[in-house]
Amino acid sequence: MATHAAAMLINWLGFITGAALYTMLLLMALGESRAGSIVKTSDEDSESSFNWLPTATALLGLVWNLGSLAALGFIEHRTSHAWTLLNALMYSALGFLPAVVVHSLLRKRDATLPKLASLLLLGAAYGLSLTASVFHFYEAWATRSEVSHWALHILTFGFCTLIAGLLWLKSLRQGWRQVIWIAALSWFAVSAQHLSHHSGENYSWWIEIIGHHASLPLAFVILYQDYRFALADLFLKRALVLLLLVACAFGIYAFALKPIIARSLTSEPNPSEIAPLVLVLVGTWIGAAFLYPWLRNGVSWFVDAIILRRSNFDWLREELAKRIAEQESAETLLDDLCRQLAIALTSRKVRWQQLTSEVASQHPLRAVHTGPLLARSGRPSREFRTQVQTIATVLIPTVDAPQYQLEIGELAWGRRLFAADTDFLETVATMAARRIDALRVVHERCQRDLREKEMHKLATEAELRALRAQLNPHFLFNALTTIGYLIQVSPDQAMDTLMRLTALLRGVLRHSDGEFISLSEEMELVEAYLDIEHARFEDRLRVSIDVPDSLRELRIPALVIQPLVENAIKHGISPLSAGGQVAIAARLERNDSNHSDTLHVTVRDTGAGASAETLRHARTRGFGLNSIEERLERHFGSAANFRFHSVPSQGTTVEISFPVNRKLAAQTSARTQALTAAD
Amino acid sequence: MTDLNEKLRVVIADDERPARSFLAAMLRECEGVELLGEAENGAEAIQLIEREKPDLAFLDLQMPEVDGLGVVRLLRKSRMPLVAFVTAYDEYAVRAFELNAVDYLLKPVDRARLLQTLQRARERLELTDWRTRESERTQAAAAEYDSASGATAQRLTRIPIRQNEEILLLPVRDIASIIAEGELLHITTTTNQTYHLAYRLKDLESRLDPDTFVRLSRSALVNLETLHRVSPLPGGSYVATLTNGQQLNVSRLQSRILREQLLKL
Repeated sequence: MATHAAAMLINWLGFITGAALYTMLLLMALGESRAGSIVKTSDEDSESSFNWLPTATALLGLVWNLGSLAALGFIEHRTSHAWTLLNALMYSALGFLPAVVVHSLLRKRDATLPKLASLLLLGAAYGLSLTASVFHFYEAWATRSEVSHWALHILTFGFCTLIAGLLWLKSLRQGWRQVIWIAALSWFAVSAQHLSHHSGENYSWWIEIIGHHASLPLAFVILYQDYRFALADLFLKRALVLLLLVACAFGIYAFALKPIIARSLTSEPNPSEIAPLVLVLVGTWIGAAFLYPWLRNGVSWFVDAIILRRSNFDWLREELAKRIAEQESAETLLDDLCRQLAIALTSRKVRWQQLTSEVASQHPLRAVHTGPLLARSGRPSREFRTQVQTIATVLIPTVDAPQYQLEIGELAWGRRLFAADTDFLETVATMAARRIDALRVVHERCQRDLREKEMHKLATEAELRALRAQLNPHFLFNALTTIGYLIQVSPDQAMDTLMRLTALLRGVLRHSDGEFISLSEEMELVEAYLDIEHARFEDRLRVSIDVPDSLRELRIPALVIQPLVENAIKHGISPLSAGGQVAIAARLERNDSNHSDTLHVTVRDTGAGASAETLRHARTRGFGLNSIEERLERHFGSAANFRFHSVPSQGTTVEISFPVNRKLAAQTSARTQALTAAD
Repeated sequence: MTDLNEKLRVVIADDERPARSFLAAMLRECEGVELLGEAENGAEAIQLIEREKPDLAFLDLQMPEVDGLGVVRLLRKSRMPLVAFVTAYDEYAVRAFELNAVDYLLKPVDRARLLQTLQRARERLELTDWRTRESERTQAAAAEYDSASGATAQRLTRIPIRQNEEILLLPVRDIASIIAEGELLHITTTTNQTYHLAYRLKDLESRLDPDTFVRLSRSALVNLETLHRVSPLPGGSYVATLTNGQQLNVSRLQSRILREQLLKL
């Protein structure tokens, strides 16, 4: 009786386990087909239509296991007509199981198989299953017997032949060993059933068990083959932990508690003896509770490291951290990371892409996003889409744009990303982001330092150049010599010239490049300059200035006229013993269409002039005129104009023109007047 | 030169009157100095120096047409005085002078520095061959200055040439060829007039437009615009004929360069 009860218990457990496993398979298959349909592209129909086979396998297995459970539950109604029909259905399902498995094997593994042979095998498999189920139903309908022995015979011997055929077809191909033994198992499942019925009245509970639960290993094998990690994560670990826990509890009970209890219960129980007993029981209970996390860790390590040979995340994280820290650029870092992750996750492909700014802003805060994300993650390249399905995207959360994203291609053996994986990915992504940030900071700092140095150099150079250009040392020392002379002959005039020089120096030093001053301020500088040069060249330098007062409030870039005048004296007047005339004229060209008029300033000298060649030579030397042209262009772009005309021994004319704001000038003028009035 | 106890005889050349007067006034205040005259430009300076035969000449470096170094180049060696150049600011000149122990003053002239110059002049005059030495020093400084400032110096449009007592300013575009013979240059114009000039060919070349004046050989420079014909000679060399009828040999190396330059046109 005890053995019968134990067999019953094992039957219950077996069918429940079977039902659970096939349910899992069903969910996996369904989930996969859903994911597949979302990312479906034109050239993967074969992939997506394939999914009904595991679904069918799962359904058939479920029918068998649930039916068997029902049979166990309603054992007293076994003889009713409905029952026999249900039984026929169950056995038919079991009969179709090997056919579906054979089908999936033929379809999935190798397209290079001879087509005719495959079709024949397939037809034979389904034919056998169909015949068997017809027998079952006929048997159930006609004789009301539980099962058709003929059908079982047909299945057993038919599939035995089929497996031989499969062996012949695929014997030389690699990777077919698993295929064969899955097929063999399904055959075994059926024939074991057959055997169990053959044993008849000779009741043997282990044959009973093998017979009824032969579909269990089949489910395990399919799950292990196609959904290895899911099986391990969802089922194997928990089952093993529970099993171990039960085994521990049972062990403790059998070897430690049973003797104590037996001894306690022999004599008359009294409270003083029961108390330690309760203590021991509670202790066992607490011990088991303490044991659970330890067992769980041990089992998950065992499953991950030994059975699945899955990477150890802690070790991997350290390894990746080391590798990441060694990388010197974001691109090599991501390339390397992709390679390492593909190995660690057994992904068919991991790649990275740079996120465009709008995609990045849409991206959720979560770093890891599992599931089909194509709509969100922009457009993975077609090549990637068609080859490998993206099952997750991982955002590399760098502080600044551009951000990157890893695309994890589908994993081997139908593995999914579970919490541990996503945690791991998130950690790795953060590590990579920090490194990229650090690299960027270093890069930026380098660039900034370089820029600052450059700027500093430029600024210094510009200052010096400005000083040299505006106040060339020749001019300065000659002016001082002139003042020296004037001190001897005319101290008053010396004082005057000194003041003019002071004003000029202040003007040149005060007005930085790019600053706008009024035309009258510029003309003051020009006049100061001309006064000094006039004191030096005396009557060799003749000057005429024609700048209408009405224009004097116009704003112009500082120091664009003075260098022209200086240039005229330096290259036009001073090389001639007889000297010459320098004429400065300004006129405004009205432009009614907008507020901006054009100011023309002409500096003409009747001096030495220059041939085109001399001029070219002079300008390549970085003459002051170049810098004026550049500055005007910088301020006004194409609106500015610079014209240079020189004829040897006749003189040189330089004309600059650029837009000025009439309105602004008027306002400034009004304000100046208002201030004057207020004073 | 024997009159050592007599006054130091000086002249000044500067185109700017204030600068000239400033220096003149300062010199008049110095003891033992006799100012013989002032020149307003280079040509005047040469005349003044050759007429007055001063011991020391203060020459402004920047003067129209014939500048301070031009004066030194054009002076007859027998008339060469001691020279102190005066400049406002010229790095190249100052370096050239220092390298060749030629005296110079910076504007505005400092009295103490001027006294040093006068003292040095007196010391130099004690040597019997001071004229030759000074001539060598100033020529060397001039050459040094030309090669140092070559890239930045202004191109010559006219070349000052000494012709007896005159200074002729020969427009560069009138020159057909320049042939070197030692330190002496023979210049032939388009109208077949010839002039002589003491200058180094290399230094003069650096102050001429390289697109116009090209070398035919180590010693010949020609104005491309006057080049009429280039004909081969047996033995691989060429002969160039100019519009003025002048014929010049072209070295083998230069013929290749010349061909490139001409084919470009």
